[in-house]
Amino acid sequence: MNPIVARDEAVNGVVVSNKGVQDFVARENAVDSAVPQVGSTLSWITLGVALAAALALYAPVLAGMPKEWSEFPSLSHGFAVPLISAYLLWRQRQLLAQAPFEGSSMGVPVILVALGMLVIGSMAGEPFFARLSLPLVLFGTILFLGGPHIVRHSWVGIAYLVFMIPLPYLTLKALTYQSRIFDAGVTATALRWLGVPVLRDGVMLHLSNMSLEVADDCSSIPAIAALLALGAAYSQMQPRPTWIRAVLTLAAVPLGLASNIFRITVTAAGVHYIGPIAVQNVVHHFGGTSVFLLTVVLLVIIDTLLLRVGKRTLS
Amino acid sequence: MRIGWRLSTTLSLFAVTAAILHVAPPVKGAMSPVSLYALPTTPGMWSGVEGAPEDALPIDPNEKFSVRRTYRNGDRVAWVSVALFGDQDGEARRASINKIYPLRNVSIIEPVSLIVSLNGPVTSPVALRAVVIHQGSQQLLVAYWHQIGNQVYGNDYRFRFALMREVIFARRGDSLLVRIATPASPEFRRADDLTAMAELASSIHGALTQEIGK
Repeated sequence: MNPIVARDEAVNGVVVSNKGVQDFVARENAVDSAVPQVGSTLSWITLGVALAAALALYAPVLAGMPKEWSEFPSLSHGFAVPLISAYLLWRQRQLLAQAPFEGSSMGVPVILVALGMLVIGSMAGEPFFARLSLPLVLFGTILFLGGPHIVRHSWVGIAYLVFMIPLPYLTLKALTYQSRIFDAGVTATALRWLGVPVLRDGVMLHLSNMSLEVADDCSSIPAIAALLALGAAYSQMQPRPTWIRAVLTLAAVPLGLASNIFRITVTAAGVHYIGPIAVQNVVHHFGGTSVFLLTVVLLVIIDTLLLRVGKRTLS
Repeated sequence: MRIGWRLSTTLSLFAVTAAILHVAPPVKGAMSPVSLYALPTTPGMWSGVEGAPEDALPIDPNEKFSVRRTYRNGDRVAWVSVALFGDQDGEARRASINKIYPLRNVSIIEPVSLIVSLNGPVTSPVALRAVVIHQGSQQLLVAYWHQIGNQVYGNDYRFRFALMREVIFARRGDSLLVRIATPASPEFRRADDLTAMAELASSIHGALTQEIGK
């Protein structure tokens, strides 16, 4: 805006007061200063420095995660999570560039809670507690420095990081055992429907020619953990209404369960009809991958159906 | 300058957190391994000898020290392990839930209710964690509890929270894991097994608590 020098001018010998113009400019300037400014390069650099400092602070608790991701099949999707999270933020770059930068003090309590969790988790040796506070501290830092508009366009990418955090082993173990019992029960029922004689004893499936154990790796928990992350990523990457996104994310849980039980049933039926080779081949060893691919296909089918339903409702 | 002020505040909070984590005193152990030898050799009607089979009570590589005994009472046999875990401010030094009872060739892990009135300074009924492990035709009844000082925890989560509290505020991180295993009878005689186990648990806890409380 060009500066206007307020002065009285003589027009045809009549002095015209510029006071009205002065007032208008003052009002305009006041409005301008109230409208939040789009983030300057300096603002973004400042936010970047704060986020980098947060990551440096969390380095000790994050360092052990890649080892856990590689050690446990149920956590192997953890490697993909930071990349997907970064992509989800990158997709929002234009909206973020246009968003006004107006830091909110509401970020301070969020940061304090997160840092409290980090201190408690680190000092007590409870990594889950400490790691869970990372998305929270990032969220709080962005809110404090960038403000609610920046948070609005970045929270999905930050919240997605939760999927990389391994559950506490005590909980994971209990869930895995319950899932093994459930998977074995449903598989035994499915096998009887298929005419395969089977005696189920807990997690053991005794076939006429072989006994199979639904082991930890065969349970649906690894599949569900990975597919929940996949469902969330898939739903966010498509331009979809919120309800379709929610359905797609949640659908990953029953889909993962169903596809894993399908895999176990096919394997057991294969052992009955073909022989032990059905569990000693490459296909069985890549069972997790086959479940994953099967669920992706099912997710795409559900997405297509939901889109059609959505369009019909709109029309 | 407003954003500069916000950045300084944020970095200060991070620095204070880093300092707290850095200056935290190391976790110490307060319990002497000697107290484990308080495990009585003749609790009540039982008589014990050193050693217990690893098939019934797996050895946890994380345990600092343990006393393992085999007890007999007529035709009934029970195996007991009292293990000390120390400096538990890290996952690697805690009791592994995979080593509490056998998991090899196990078809069912059946939880059972075992409420024990424990002797000691305070008499109070405690629900202990007990499971029947089905291994083919054999069944094994295993009951266990965690103990911090004289306080008994029959629930794994409660124990973890109590340990967290102890590690953070007292910077002490040692606890006992007491396990009792016995071959399980058919289901209609399960109550007898549980009664015998409760009696043994009570004697063991009483002896340990007396020693730790000294």
